[in-house]
Amino acid sequence: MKFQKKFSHSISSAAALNIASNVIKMCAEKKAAHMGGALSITDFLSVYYSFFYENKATSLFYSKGHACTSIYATLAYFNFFDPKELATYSENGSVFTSHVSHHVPGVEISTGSLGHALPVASGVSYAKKITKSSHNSCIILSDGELNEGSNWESLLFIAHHRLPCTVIIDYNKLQSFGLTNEVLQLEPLKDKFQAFNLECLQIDGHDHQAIFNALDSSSNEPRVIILDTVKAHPLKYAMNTLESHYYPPNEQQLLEGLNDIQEHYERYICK
Amino acid sequence: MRDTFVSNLIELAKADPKIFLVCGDLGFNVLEEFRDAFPDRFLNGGISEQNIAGLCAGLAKEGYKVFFYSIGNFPTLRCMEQIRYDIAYHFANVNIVAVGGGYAYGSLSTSHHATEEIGMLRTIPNMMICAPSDPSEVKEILKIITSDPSPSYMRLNRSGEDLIDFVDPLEQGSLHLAYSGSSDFQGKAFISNGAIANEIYKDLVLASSSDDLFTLPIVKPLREKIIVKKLLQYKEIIIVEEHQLIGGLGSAIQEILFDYYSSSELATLPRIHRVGIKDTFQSVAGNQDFLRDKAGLFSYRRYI
Repeated sequence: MKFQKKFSHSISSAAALNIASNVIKMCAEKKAAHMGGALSITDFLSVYYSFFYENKATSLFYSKGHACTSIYATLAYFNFFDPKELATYSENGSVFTSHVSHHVPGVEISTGSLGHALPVASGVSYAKKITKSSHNSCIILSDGELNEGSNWESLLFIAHHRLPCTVIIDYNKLQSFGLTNEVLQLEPLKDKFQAFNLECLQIDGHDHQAIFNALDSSSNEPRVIILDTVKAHPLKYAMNTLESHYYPPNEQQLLEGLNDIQEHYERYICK
Repeated sequence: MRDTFVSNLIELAKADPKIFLVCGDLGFNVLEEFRDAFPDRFLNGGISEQNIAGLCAGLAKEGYKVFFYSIGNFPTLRCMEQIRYDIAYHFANVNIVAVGGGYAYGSLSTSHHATEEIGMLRTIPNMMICAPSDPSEVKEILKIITSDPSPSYMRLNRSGEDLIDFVDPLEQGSLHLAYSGSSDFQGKAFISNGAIANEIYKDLVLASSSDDLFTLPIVKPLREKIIVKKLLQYKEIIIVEEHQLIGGLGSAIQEILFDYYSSSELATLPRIHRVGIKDTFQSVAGNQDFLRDKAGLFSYRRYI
């Protein structure tokens, strides 16, 4: 992916602080599920949209449609629409559905059924390639989603055609009803991608500098970046719990959570 | 039908740089000419229909008019959810074309019988569903689906189907008069589509029948009023389809007639006989005619 802007921990942390706070507020207010997986990908989204998103030259496909609050909050923070609109999330008649909707400005495709975004993104990348447009597709997948065979069909295709796709795995190690390694063993995960002839990096998915460095490459080759993440990061009460996939924070947990988020990010933010 | 599809698609692709053909690793001795003429607009996606359906949606998102070509069940049932969600919901200009409709690949066994796909696809919003009966209808439908941005499905048989000498030109969403044996419209009308309509046509011609035959090459969307008006003229209607009785052509016609009757827009209902597959699989070897016969599809002949 082409280098866009100079890294600033302060800029992406300010984004993450806002996005993560909105995620837990939205989940609390609407008693919505899927908070854990929304929080585990927040740092990546903050870095990507702070430094690498460029209209027309990049497309972000958000395959883990259930974790919609973080992409909605991200797009709001980066002015794709008025952040006030987030208040309608999941309400009757709102375009902000509880799985990602392409009717929301900035969203490429609707997702919610897992294993769909990678094939669609590969079609976009293939079309861009034959028209010789400079373009990079970034596709965010959950780890549990790798159970779906369509992803592996698509990875074969992307590797074969050397499409300029950056595949992101939010490896928080928890899926709907258990640990990924208990439900269907993914390990050795990096080896699997490398065996598909895909360049693969594995990094700390909450380290903004590491995310920036991983994305900051002039390579047009297909790549997989495995983000080692923590479900519900950085909420002390909810981190690494299956419950965070289902339960919204109660009043007390919301206050604690907002405090945890503030504490976690403010150290990086220049005053 | 297959050869007409490919030769006409080549002609259309010469004039329209947005036409793109994707196959699921088949097309030996069929697709080479397209591939060689338009290498940038041809792609063999491999044996991976779920991936192909999604990537077709991606190509369409970039402005291509995509054709996804494969055998019967594979570009349809195998990737039904990708069709619903990636293609139809996003109104992607993807046209699925399947060879081997009905029992056309009969001897290849149940895996290759396409006998449920029209009913399943018909329930998906935005989809145009087509089952032409002869090469001339294939050509007409191809023009329609190429100029219409809706996602679509077209069921083909194989190759070598006879031309039907249609009485009227094809009108989108309406019945297409293939054979007219009656002058006063008081007799019986057959309604069919796909390759089995071609068999009925030959039978009616041979018998110099006084009945009529309509094809319904586009099963969805339908121009209901025109269809009802045409069918009003008959006392007896025989609907024949090489498809499960549930959900296909007969269901589509009956739904319209009953809705019109219930809303009092229609005073009486014609007597309707339906010939189709009675909720069964065929699990023995056999060519198309053998399996059609075994499934009872030739029982329409008793009405001739």
